[in-house]
Amino acid sequence: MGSGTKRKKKDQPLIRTPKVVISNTESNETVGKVLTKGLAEQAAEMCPVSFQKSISNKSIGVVGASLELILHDKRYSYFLAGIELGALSMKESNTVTNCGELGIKYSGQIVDINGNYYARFIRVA
Amino acid sequence: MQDLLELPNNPSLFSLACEVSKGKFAPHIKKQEAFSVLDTCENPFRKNIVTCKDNNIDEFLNEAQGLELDTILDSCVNDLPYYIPVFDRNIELVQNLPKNFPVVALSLKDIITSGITYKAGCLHEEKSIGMRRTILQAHCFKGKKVLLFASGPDTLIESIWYKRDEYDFFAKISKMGFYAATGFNFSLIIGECPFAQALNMKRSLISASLFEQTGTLTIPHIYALTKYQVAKWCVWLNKNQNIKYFTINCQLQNSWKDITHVIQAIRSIFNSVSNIHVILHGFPINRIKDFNEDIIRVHFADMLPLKKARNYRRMIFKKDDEKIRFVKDDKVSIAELITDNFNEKLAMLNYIKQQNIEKFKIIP
Repeated sequence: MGSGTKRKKKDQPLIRTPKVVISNTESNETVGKVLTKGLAEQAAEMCPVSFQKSISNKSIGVVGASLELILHDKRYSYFLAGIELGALSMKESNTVTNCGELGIKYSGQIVDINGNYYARFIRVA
Repeated sequence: MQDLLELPNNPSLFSLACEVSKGKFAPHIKKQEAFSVLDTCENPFRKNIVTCKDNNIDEFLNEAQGLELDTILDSCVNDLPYYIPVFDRNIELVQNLPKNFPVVALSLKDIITSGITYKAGCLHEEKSIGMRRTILQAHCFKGKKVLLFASGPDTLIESIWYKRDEYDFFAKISKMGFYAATGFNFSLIIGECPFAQALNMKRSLISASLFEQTGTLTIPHIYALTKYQVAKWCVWLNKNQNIKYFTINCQLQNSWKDITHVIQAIRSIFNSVSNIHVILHGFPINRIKDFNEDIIRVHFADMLPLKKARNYRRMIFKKDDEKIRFVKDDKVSIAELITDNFNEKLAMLNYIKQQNIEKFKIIP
């Protein structure tokens, strides 16, 4: 990325433990292997850095407003000041739950992309 | 002017919790470097950096072959021009530039077909890495030496670094025909753990060495935020006298202070290492003069003329205020405009260089 005083929010990879190069003397091949799967590796694999859902009711949205994720019967819904704007799919809900167990949270915000509103969720590691 | 390479006189709230403050990584990182820490070193998910508190620190140290800048580079890159145009992946409209541009360049993201994607406001790593292995066969590269700036966002750099063996990355680069490739620009951010910074300095040097080991000439990429880091690079450069150029990717430094920091680091290196030159990738035009008499040791590389031409903007340099203006021009082809803009940028750089030479009575 660079040197400087601050990082870009859009560029936040989780760094995985280096693969250890193992040489196979018989086939003369070298293979990179991951010997340990720590938190960073699990999170990098399971928890996408961001995802977003469209918001159909534009009148309710305020660009930049924070959203709250609340779990109802295994599915997460997202709320703005107590008003439900939509729900995540089962797959997305499972991701948020599993990542939460690792210690990863998602921070939600309303964004405007070419006049369409979206609920955007970004990984907080 | 404030010396931005100096460390604070006192520790911050986070300094004493940093393992560096206990001398754990001495002599490679001095205890007092922890004074610069402005945030917690706790980073269990290893977001962007590997800190002093990482559980797998030994594996990272093994990969980097320790923290000491002791990697020898044998590359000997000579006679690079004062200005190097940088192209992107969309080269169809780029003409073969005239002979006053003997060297051109590409960046890492432009030789990759997949690797990262931008969605939902963030850069996402893709599972596979594809490469444009025949890109240098394009007409615009005929008769040119082509540099590869191995720089880009952390998401791309870290992804390629992690998968480099799986994709045989360095060997593939060597077969593409680049004249030389720079080391990776692993990031250094002010206020972050000094261990993370030292590790990234070494990882960058190791990446340069891997280019060399697979047959590509290399140019080290150098970031230095403190006088200690500058001193380490100066020792390394003085030991590797064959290295005539280092490079710095300046695309993240936007503020006046950040740019001043870069200029101070470069001039500090110039003071200690004779005959070394720097190639600045993406340096802001309005700060070029600030190199004063050192301007003859600074080379520039950027793609601004190309980007502007794509938007039908002609670059016009005015000598009276030494500023570039961008004027709409849709009367000539984009290909022509690209060449004209690169010529204008070169003319501007030559003018400013000459002004500094006369002002500081430099004998080139």
